[in-house]
Amino acid sequence: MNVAVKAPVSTLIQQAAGRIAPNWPLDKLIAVNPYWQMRQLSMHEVAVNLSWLGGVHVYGDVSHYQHVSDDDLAQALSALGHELTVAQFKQQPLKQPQPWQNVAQLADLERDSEREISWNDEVVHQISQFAGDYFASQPQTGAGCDDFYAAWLDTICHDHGLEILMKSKGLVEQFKALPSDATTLVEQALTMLGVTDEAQVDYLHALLLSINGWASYSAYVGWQAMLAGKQNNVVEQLLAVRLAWELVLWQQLSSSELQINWKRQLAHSNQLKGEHQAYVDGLQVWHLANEMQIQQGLHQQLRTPLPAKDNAALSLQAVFCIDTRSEVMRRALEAQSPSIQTKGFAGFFGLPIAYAVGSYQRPQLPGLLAPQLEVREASSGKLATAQYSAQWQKFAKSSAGGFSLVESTGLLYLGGLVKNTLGLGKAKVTEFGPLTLSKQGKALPLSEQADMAAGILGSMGFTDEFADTVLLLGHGSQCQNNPHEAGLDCGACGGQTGEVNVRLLCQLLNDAAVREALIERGIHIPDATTFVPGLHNTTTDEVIVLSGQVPEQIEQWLAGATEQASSERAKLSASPDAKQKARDWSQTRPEWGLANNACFIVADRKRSQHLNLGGRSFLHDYNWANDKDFALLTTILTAPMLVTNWINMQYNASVTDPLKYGAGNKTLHNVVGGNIGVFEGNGGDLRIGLPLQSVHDGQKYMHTPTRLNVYVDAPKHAIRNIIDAHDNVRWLIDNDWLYLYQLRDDGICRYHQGYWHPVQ
Amino acid sequence: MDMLAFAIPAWYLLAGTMKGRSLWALQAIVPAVVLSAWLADGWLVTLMVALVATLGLFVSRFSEQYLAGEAKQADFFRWLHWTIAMVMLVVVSDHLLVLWFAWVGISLSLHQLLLFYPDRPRAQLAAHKKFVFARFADISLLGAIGLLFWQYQSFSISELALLVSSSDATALTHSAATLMVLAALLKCAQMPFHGWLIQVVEAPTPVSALLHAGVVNLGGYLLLRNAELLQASWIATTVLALVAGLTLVLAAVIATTRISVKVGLAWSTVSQMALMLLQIAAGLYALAALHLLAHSCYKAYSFLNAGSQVKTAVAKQMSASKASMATTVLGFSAAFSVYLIGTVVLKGSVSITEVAFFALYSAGFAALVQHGQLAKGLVAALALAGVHTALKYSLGWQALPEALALELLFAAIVLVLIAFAWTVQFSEHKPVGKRLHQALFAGLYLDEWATRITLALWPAKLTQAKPVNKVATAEVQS
Repeated sequence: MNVAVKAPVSTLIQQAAGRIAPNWPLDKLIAVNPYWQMRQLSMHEVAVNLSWLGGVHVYGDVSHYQHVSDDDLAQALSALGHELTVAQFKQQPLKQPQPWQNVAQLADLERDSEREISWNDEVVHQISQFAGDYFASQPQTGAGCDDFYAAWLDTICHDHGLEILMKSKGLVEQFKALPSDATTLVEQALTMLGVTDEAQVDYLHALLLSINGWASYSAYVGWQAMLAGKQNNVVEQLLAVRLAWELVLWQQLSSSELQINWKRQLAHSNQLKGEHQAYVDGLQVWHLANEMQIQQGLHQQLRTPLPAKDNAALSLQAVFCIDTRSEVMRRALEAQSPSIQTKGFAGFFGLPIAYAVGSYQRPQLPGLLAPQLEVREASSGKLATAQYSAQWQKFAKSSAGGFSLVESTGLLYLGGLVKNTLGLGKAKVTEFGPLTLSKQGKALPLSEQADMAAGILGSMGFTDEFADTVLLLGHGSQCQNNPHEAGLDCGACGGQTGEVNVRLLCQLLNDAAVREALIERGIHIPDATTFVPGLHNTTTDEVIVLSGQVPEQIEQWLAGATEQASSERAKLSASPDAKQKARDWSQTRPEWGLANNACFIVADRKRSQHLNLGGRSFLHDYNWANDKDFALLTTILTAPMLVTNWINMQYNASVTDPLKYGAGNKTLHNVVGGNIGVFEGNGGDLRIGLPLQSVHDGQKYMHTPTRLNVYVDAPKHAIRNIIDAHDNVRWLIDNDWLYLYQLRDDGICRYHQGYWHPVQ
Repeated sequence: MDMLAFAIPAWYLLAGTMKGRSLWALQAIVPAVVLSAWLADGWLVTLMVALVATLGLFVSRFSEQYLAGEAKQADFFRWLHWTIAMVMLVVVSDHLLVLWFAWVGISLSLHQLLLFYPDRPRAQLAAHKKFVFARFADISLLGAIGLLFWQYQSFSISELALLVSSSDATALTHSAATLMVLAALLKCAQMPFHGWLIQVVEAPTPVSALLHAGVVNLGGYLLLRNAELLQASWIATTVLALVAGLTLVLAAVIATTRISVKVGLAWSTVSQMALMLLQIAAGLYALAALHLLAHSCYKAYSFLNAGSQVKTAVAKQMSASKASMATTVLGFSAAFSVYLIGTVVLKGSVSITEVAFFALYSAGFAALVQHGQLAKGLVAALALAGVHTALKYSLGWQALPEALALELLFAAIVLVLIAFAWTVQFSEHKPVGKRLHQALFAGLYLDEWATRITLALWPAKLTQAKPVNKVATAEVQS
């Protein structure tokens, strides 16, 4: 870094804010790689930085790797170039050093913890409460939110409770003296605190990590603005708020001990980082050994010779989402008859849509993309009940309404208690009519509909050999009383079920006019072929046909597949009755979601059809022989592979650092602002990531942290060209955020740091 | 009351200690209700036994799956059933000393539940505040019991009722009644002693459900059981009306500014308890009993179902509707007329207090009508009037003949509430509304004082943010 040129303060703020990944609100909850914004660095570097600045575990602590053998450790030690023997390595103590301390934390060293509230706790609590109140009153479209700092300053200058609670007279006066502009504040604070130039961005990052939940939600607001082509700097403003607290405490306490501690820390910050480097280096060995163990198993499986192809006539084709839960179901369905073919494709089926009801709109596509088209129900009426119950809730929340509500209908809630205790909750999917599709308020012309349909079929590699029945399956979870339900639905559909997407695509592909237009585009769908939309219920493994009917034979196959898949999944749970779980309002573990995901196979189904991958693999169908300029492969590696990385890293982070990147205990969850997120208990920071119960069965973690192993069946040069041409792909691979392999008949090769290495 | 009454709580103790599962709670309901109906001299006791037993069952059943995999689940069931047993004992006991011990017992076993996750600093702080307030309540109640015994030489609630109503109130009577009111106010988390009730959402959801549905209302139950004593003391009644009245107004509007579902529910409990206590002060016992039962069902359901909040929020966004002043006034007038005419027809007269309460309920219905639910609002209004009348006749209680000044006080409190609530609602986007929102959002700083004074008087052992190890600091933020 060139220290001669001093970066302007706004750049520093942007750099620090730019390290925080977005976190979607609960009703649109999708998996996010929490380290995404630091992908330009190697994962190891990020692990060291986060351990140093926030005490974060990117690799798990040693307790996560008890299954690792000495052989695995020996391999990992040698792969990482350590000179130690396994015995020597195990003898070294491996304890996380104390992380960087912000001023608020250092101030607590002098507080009487039996009689006084902790500063650090209260700072987080105050910002968190304010942010909740602020964001709850803002539209969630990414617009606005440009007065976050000003609104906070106005609030805190009128908050006299803090002085009382914290026993700190004059606190409010300190806030009143703060500059009204966020950038000026940051500049002033960094000067007052004497933070050296090279430490500034890291210090700001540490501050954001101390309110990581709200920082991540703010980053979501910024992300939405970005998708809409707008600018938004709410993360930067949140950072200014957090730094304002540091400055105020610094001035208010003006304690010499605090100043000495702070200066000492600044002077020794490189040394502290070095201690974390050593600690994280040690964990890396354990983590890698664990990954090597997993990889050996995968490689062995993928090398089993392919069985001879069975050329039965096709009577059913079913297209599933690439989701790991589909692997179990596809295997179960294929086992029903050799005339069944299954395919794997991103569950939003490439439709760039948002689903709208009234003025409410939700995206039905991956979070990386902005919707282009709007879908509505052609006939409304479906939502009458929901609206009534919502109005009732609204009424109950009004200050006078609460009283009459309790007086008049309180006793009726006894009925609600009975109903929910007996599990009489309604099934999720009820009613289906046709959909309308529009672009910027106008109906989408036929030619564009056909273009879109042709594009989707093309990218599925599904342009001929149509069976009479083609099931397009979305997926969704069925559970009750679960704030994180959307996290179990389809991530590719923006945390919704895939229902709208499959209904729309089937509607298009069954439309006679569209089919005619498709012929001009080189795709001939036989008249005998019907596209049927369905929903794979990932909790019960039932398949619900959403409209139309399927032949009885197919119904039987689906029932058979349900039985096989659900009995396979039941082995992972203490209570095996999935249907009961789906209806139980006290169930905190309705299903295991994508836990234990470990690999992503981009290849023809024949490469994996004979294998039991145990629900650990994402599967995307791909045949390079039909992909002329590798456009399809480019799409797969730049889009679905990113999504699988986000999912994989969310599960990893929720396990390795459940405090910072996991949502905590469901029994304490307390929904904030309707859909913004959860607190664990009364307050504290907003909690992001997966709840404890989603990855832990009470005895053990159900997800083993491992970076995703991506296997691609394509020529080396094609893969290489795509890596070189796309920054995101290159960063993910070169910076060790995932493993990339070529999977061919003649073996497996790993692409690492610019070279192909055959895997032994 | 007969010694047999103790069989009911004993049954729960056995259930909790031996099996600790909801099946036992289920089996305990029927004998408990039958026994209490046979033994007790009023419907209130039986209704309360039925309520506590039923809610106990739902909470217990819910916790089987909800807390599955928690290392301390067995402890949870033990303390849950201990708490329910102690609540039962308070409910059935006619002997004031027994009642007092049971009351202390509730507090102690509940304390274990509140610290189900003992490492959470905010859980510790909340439980600590609760512990301290509960001891003050214990002392107040013990004082009241002592004074009553000194004057009337009896520990029996039913005997005391006769003795108190057949003699003139003395300074001792006033002191005893006021101490009992103080105990009830503390137990019902009235301001400024409300903070702990808000903050104990640091314990698992079923604990909140039990606390808000079956424990916090016992203050009201105590006063209902000792209504004659309360009636004998205008000082106690006035203290009750003032504190509850103020709490009612403030907590109701503060509740609407909360950002998280459980904290909003907790604030609403504070104001609902205030309403119940105000009704008791006004001598509207049937209404207060109805309120207690209805609120318990509503709150137990709302807490256990709090995870559904996200779906509700989405449904709300899908159903944006506009409010108009005209329909609001229409809804208010319609509901108000139904109440007024209904009461006059059924009862022959109507008091100022009743009129004020009707206005309060009608304001609520007006909100419903605002959202286009006129018919539902009217049905609900009718249902309320009907249930209230039925309870009133079956319980056979008379409202006390209030002094006009007291009547006007009740009416004023309720009208202030309505006015305040509407000011908050309609000044949302004006500067004055913003300041008001900030003050309300800060909870008017009352709990800040309570916390500070509590910690000064009785320091807590909190796991604080001593940034020596990572776990401690990270958990503070959680």
